[in-house]
Amino acid sequence: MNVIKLLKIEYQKFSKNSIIRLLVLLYFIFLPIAIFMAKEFDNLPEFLISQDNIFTFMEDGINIWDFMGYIGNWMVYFFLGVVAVYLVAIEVTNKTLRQSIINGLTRHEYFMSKLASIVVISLVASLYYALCTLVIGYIHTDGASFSLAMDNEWAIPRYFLMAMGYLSFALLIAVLVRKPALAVFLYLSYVLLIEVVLRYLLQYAKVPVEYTRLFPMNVVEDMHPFPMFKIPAANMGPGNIDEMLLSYGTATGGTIIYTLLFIFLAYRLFVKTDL
Amino acid sequence: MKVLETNNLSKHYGHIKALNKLNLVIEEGEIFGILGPNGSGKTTTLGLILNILKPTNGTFTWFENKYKNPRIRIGAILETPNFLPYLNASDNLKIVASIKGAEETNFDKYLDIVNLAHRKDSKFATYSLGMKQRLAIAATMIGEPDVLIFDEPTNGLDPEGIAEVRNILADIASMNKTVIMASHILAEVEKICTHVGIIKNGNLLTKGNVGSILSEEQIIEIQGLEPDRLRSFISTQNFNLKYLDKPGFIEMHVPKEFDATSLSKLCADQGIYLSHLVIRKQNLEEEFLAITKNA
Repeated sequence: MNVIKLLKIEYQKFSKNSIIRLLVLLYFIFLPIAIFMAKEFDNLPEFLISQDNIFTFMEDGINIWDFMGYIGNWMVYFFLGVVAVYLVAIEVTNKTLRQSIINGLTRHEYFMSKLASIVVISLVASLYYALCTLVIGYIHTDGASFSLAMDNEWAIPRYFLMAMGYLSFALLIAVLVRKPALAVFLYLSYVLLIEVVLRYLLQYAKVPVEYTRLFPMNVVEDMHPFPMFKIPAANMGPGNIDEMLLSYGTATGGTIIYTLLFIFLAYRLFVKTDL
Repeated sequence: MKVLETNNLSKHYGHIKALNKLNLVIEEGEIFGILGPNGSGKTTTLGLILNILKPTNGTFTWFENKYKNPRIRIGAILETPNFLPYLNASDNLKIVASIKGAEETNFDKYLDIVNLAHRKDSKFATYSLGMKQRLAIAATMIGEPDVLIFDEPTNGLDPEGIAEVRNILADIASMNKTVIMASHILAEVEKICTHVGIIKNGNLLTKGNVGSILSEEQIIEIQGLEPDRLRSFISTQNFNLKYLDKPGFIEMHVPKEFDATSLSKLCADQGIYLSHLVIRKQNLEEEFLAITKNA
């Protein structure tokens, strides 16, 4: 069965699910809206950040692509990551996973339907990020040209890979845990808490930070990191940027490796276990 | 054509043998009942042949390996009716049709068979257990499969639901499809199936057509006006048969060629007149208990 047919089946299954509809809707609403909260930050020190940084395209330095990317980082992690967990978990709970295999899908096809779903979600999320950023950026940038608008250090592909990183991790957790509430809890708390605690413990045990920051979700986060960390003046001294963040090259390589690993593990697990 | 053939099919969970070296052939057109008590390995068997469970050992082939994806040609229910609760019947059936590659978009004919057409726009979550089960039966028929598989189809239903589902199954059985049905309810298998395999503790004890398993022996119940004389007379006769004293009558297990008329005449010649003589086939329930007791 080809991928288009598999995606059609996924659409039939989930387009009317209210939780998934709500989560997707919240992503679409909050991604463009959240940045306007920055209008409240009028009293931030000028040397740290300005409205220009947040809302306009710029040749050098942090700009709207970074801020929108960082907002999207949270939105994808939270709303779309939970969607990815649900795509599997709903089917486990209602045993439609089983029934899909009984009805004739091979396990390979079933897994491909989930993989194709997260690729499509990541793609749509990235295009929406691009659209929102371009629209908001053009409105706020005087005399913006397209080449200026697109001067963004591959922000859109980075966003896509970031989304794939989160969603493939969510897929692995869902295949591994198979209980919806627990899977969602584990997914959210791993990214927010568990990995942070693990890294802290390892650093406490004198493991160098160069290693601990290679934890998977930290790598994925650094695809669109907190923009303030990229302002030299916001850091304690020169060189600190390197300690705070991975370079885009490292983050990209790491994210690709982790994404492939998550997908591979989820696939192996799914193909081998009893349903 | 052999619809299904299993070869030493086994499933172990640790040291527990849920299914132990099952060898089974199901031919086209058979209504095959897999009969066994709860926990005997029926659902494990179905799970294995439907690719839900991975066998520990052994193999199985569908349709003599004629098709690349045999499950497209099989309509099956395993344990429970499995549908998405937030979708209505039509939307749920559309998903099944998409997976089966069936072009159908109108499912009324199936919903009519299971008497659900009037509720096709209600969400699955609002259905009663009986309705859920009936929807599952309707779903098995999508795409005109060659084989239908039902697992304990009347489990948990109320008497009305049981009667309804049994009627539907009897209708389906008459459609010339191959049916495989797991059940622990003998009456169900006896009424619907042409063939039966009896399974206990993961072992197949016996298999064959329902008639052959039943017709080995028949049972004669007799009672006379003078029970004591009748009893002592029977005990002196060398019938070479086991007989049981039951309250109110004597029950004898006799071969199917046994002539009840001559028994009656023999008694009458002794001046013992029978007040009660019933010849009946041993039913599946007795057969089942007899077979599973020794296993």
